[in-house]
Amino acid sequence: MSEPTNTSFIPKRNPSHKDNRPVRRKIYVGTIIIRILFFAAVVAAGGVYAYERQLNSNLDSEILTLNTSISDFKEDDLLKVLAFDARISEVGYRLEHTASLVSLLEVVEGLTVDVVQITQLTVERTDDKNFTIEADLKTPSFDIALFQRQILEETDALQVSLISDLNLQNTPPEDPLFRSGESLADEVSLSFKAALTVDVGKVPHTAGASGSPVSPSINQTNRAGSPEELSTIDERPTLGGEVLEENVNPNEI
Amino acid sequence: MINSFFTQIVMTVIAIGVLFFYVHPTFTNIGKIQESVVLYQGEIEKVTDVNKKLANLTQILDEIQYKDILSLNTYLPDSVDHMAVSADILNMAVESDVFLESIKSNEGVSSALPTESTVKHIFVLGITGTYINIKSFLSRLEENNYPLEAHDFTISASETDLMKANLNVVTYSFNNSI
Repeated sequence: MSEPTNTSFIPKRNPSHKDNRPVRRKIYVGTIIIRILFFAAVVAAGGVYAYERQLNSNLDSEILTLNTSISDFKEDDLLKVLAFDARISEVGYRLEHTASLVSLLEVVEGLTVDVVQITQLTVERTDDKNFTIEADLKTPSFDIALFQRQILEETDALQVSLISDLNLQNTPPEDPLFRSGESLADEVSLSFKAALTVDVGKVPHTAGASGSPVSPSINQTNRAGSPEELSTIDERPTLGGEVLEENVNPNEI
Repeated sequence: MINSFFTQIVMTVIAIGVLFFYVHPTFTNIGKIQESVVLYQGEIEKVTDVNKKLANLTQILDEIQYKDILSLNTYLPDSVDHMAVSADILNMAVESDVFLESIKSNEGVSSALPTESTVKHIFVLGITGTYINIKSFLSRLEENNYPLEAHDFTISASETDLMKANLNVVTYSFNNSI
């Protein structure tokens, strides 16, 4: 018994017949990513190469500009300007700290009671900002000495730092002048030293300082006598000259 | 062929190699170059500003009148002629009717520290005169074209109107150490 040969319902392919259906091409995501990555890397390499070259060119240009600017700098001019500036600054400092000894003497005159004699005056400029004054004062009585001290202590122009070396000299009994005067003051001589400090700012130098009015602070002292009397004081020597008792009444303190 | 697995591996390696061994370092280098460019631009601006300021100051300096510079140099000269200053002091004493007993200068002694821009020149004077005349003499010292500062002044009373005063007169010269 023979079996039928072509009984399957599944169509049989003819081996000699070629299948002409188009082959579907497979595209993988990984392949695309790799290609994109590759070309991106190449493009990026080219881009950064070009950009780096441009930046290097810019940098060279900036360096050249800087070197040109530096070469334009004139050191001689700078030295000239600096030297001038230093000189101006120094002159400014000297002018700022200029003080008038004449003004200072007038201040001392203004603060000295008329009956007080200054036997010796030493003015020392310790630094650019201060004067120190040592005055040997001679007074005929304690009242006047106290009055003088009060004037010195109350003024704004001077600063009393020390009053020392108090020395009382009375007329000895064997002297013919002993108790010959009307009062004790005629026979007594009292001397002391006053050390004072003055700020140079309070005695500034001004053109024609000699004979100029004394600073207002002196006018505010309780000295018996007006500042206008300074001009009359100038008419006669204050230091060591013969003095007349006038306009002074220590009892009024 | 291009789709072969080996090719894709090679492409990946090349891409990663380019990125890591060229693009990344170059990119870092670009950042540094940019910083340098900015730095140089800033420095150029500073140098230009300095040049402009210097040019302005030089112009101002050039515009100062000669007589003013002369006055400045007279007030603070580079050197002090002690003989000329002594002669000036003597003239002032004569004009003030003050007897100038002695005058000594410290030429050759005065010195300044390198940091100080002035040199002190001290003249030691001994004068005799009335109080008014001595004040007049001091006033003339103060109104001079160059500083004559009385630093140590001592005046003593005497029996007569004439008084004796000793003083140190100080003037300055400019120590141009720049």
